[in-house]
Amino acid sequence: MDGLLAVPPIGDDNLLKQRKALVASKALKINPLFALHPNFKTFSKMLANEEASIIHATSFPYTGRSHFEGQNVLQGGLLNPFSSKTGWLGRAMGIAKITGKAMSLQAPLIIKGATDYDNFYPEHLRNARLPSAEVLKLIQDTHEGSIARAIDKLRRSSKSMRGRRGSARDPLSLASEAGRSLREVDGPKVAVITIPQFDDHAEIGSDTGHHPELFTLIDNAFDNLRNNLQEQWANTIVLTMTEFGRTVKENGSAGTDHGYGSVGLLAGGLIKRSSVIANWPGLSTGELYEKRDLYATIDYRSVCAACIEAAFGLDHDVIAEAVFQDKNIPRAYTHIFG
Amino acid sequence: MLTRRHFLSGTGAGLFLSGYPVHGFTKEAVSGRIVVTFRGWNGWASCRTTNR
Repeated sequence: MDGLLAVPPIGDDNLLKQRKALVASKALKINPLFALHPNFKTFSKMLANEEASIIHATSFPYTGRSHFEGQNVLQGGLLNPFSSKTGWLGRAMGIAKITGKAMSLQAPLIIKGATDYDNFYPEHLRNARLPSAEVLKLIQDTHEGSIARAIDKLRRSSKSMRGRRGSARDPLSLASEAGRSLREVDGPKVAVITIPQFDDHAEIGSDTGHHPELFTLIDNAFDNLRNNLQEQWANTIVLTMTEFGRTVKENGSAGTDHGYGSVGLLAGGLIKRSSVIANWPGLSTGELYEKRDLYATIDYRSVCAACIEAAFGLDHDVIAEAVFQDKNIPRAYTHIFG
Repeated sequence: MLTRRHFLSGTGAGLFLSGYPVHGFTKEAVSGRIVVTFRGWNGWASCRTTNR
């Protein structure tokens, strides 16, 4: 995602020198340095209500600008791409012994490693029918152990995926379903949702256009999660992540290319005080990474670690060592949740 | 059960990783929720290179 379009550093004089056309004209001022794209209407209210925060000039420590490698580092949580078969969130879930749900057909790498997780993706196959819940229950009763548990999971998943009218696979519907699932007392404690299509090499937009439409989508996903989590919103942290930011300057097609630093949006009742957390690196050409990208001065792994600490109650040293396998990750908990 | 001998022979993190339920390393029950949303690329075919 283009973090400079989402949260423009309006107080940096070099912003308009570097990208004249890619700044929203009516950005919502947060403080003297930062503003928010006007399409983040719900998120701006969450900021005002002390239930959201922004981390800027941040990234996982990956500078290769490859989607394949970047997504793997983002989800695997280790420094080298393709070096782990499990994800950082799944490893944390395994330690905390909690369950989760991927809102996708395939479980993404990030959640692998957990001892118990499920997925949700509504069926749309015409004339495809699983046996009825009653038949599945009869089959389940004739088995024991892991097979019986697998049939039980199939029976319950099948019911939830076809039992609700209007169940759909779009991110907003999946966000609503995730909120409903997380609200259940014995339900999952983790949900993973994907909002794709941010790779705008051309016609990215500023006030309107493709990227601003995606901002609205993210904003509505926050809204759907809060509305469906209901009272559990108070115990929740929503964490957004992207594999890398975009170039500071626009390209010849009015888009931006693969970069390094970006922005992270956090929301949820676990946040007690809204803030914009940044060690701003500057936007003059000499201050950019390889004279083209926003420098990432905050390791986003430390943000993820703080979210695990806040939600699961794990100790930071355990998270650093056992989840990210790097004991040198700084503790950001007090900055975000203190 | 965590004994004094075990406690004195290792760090808290080391004991935790060995499977001991060390107080302060985990809460009794997890009440928090995490929702992770990805924003980004989702397959090479989704790359937009032309105006819609």
